[in-house]
Amino acid sequence: MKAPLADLSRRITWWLAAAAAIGVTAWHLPGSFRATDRTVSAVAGKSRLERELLPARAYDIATEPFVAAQKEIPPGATFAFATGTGIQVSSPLVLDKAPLFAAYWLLPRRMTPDPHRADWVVSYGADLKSLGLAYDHVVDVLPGAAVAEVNR
Amino acid sequence: MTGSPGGLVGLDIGLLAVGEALLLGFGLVRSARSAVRFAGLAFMAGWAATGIVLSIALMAGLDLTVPLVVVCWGVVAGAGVLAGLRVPSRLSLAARERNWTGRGIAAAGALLLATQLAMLLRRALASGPLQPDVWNFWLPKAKSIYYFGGLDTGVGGFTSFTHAEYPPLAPVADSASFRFMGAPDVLLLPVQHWVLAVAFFAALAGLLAERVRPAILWPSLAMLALMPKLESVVGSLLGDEPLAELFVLAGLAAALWLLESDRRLLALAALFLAAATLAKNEGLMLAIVLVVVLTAAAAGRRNRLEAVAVAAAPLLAAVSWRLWLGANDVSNKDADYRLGDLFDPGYLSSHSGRLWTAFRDLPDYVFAPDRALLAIPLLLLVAAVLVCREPRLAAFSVATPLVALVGYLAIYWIGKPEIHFYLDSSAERVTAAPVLLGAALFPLLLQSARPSSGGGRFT
Repeated sequence: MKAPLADLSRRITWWLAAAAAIGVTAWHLPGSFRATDRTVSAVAGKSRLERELLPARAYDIATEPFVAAQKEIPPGATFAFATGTGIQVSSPLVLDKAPLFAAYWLLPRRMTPDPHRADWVVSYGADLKSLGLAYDHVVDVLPGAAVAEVNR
Repeated sequence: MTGSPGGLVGLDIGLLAVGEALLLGFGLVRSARSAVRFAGLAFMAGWAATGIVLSIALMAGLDLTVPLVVVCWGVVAGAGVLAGLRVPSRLSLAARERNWTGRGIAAAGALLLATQLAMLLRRALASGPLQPDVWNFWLPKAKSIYYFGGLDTGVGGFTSFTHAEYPPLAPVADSASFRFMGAPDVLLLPVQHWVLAVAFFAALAGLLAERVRPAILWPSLAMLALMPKLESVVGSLLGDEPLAELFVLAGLAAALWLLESDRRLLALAALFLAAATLAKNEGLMLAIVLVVVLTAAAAGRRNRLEAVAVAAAPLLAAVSWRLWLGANDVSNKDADYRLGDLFDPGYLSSHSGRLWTAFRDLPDYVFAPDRALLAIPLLLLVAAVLVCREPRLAAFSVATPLVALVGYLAIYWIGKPEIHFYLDSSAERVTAAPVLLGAALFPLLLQSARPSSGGGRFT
């Protein structure tokens, strides 16, 4: 009597597992499709450049200095990214993340932590004069943001 | 910069061709029919082997160029064809449904899987938003290889980004994609990762088809494809994405070895584990967990030492990367943990609060239905039914994901970042590999536990 009972309980468990797998998948299906729609609509109507800059926008980082730096600094040149309080930011995280985004976005330009070893300086709220460098030319991008070529 | 999708097609044809040659060496491919059935597995094997060989080539100081990729393909394909001359064929047939009900269920599952893969493609095409780790170091490393040739240790080079100590396979593979696209197009790159995900599902189907009937296989794969955990990693460009796919395939090959004792399946597992080790630091931990559990599950069998031999591939991969790091004086100052702390009782005791927090929070990332669709509870349930009939398979399928999760608990215990931040920023993705393995083994267990099933292979 014990064996048929054990067999029956195994059968019930098996069917329960199969039904639960189908049930939980069906339950998740509409949410999954809605999430896909949300992902697609988040970039709808955005230009290629705007989409590439979205990681910075997610942290409320102003993107104009990066676009200007990409235009001004030649590929392969070395640059330093200086941050400071001279620019309005929505949170302190902006000043932490901006240099990381610069190192990524401005490749193949090479970011160095030492402004004295850089051909260019990108200022994101920093006082360019306080770095003790002379500049060939300075492009002001935003109040508090500039791209400057170091005079060597 | 806009890349060429045509270039990616060329890359993918090359990866598929080299993978087919490798599977010829493993005895899996011997005819056009078997080449089609194992096309997904071939792609994944070709991708893994190419990633390993290119990583080693770059560690040796070579620059990543299209000709180098082609030469690497030649070497791998040549080795596969040569092995194929000696290795006997592994003939197997895919299971079939005998009645219309079964065929209908299988077709509905396959349709749902195809629909979800199309949804994942829509997400990949809507690229732009990136997770912080992707633009902090995964993509910059890939771009630096593209622009500067190899593993540049200079200013702004490969080792200048966060986590310089992470192994190079994922950035190397992305950089190869950039090379074939003709530009470092980060908006097109997720499509290549989607192709990898499609190949991953095709690989699972190819491996499982001989043991799992279609009415169980296709709905189970659809469930796996719909798992939020999988949706969050596919196309994310995180290292966790290839790591999870490689670990799952290694785990499935190992589980099939337990049932068949065919050492060619172990060779396949070794290949995927070596690639996983070079994809992310945790890859070695996951490889060790898998080998230890596999060896324990094979206890009492004469060939259990074959399972131990699998560890050689990931260990060699890890040693090669450690040697490169040492030779280039690359510090691991950004490392989130120091393994040595695991053996320091004082450190462990002073950080015991971290263990408790992780122990309390981590299960939600594994068991919550809105994260993992009950994959692990269902696995435990079916394993309980199966434990008398196939104890080794049941034990391996349950223990591998659970021991891997214990490994992650240990990492959170000794980790340096603040524990709540650490969990919030990483637990969702690091739990992907063990949970997805559990979900991928679910159809195999369900078939084996089926009341009227003999649990055998179709030959």
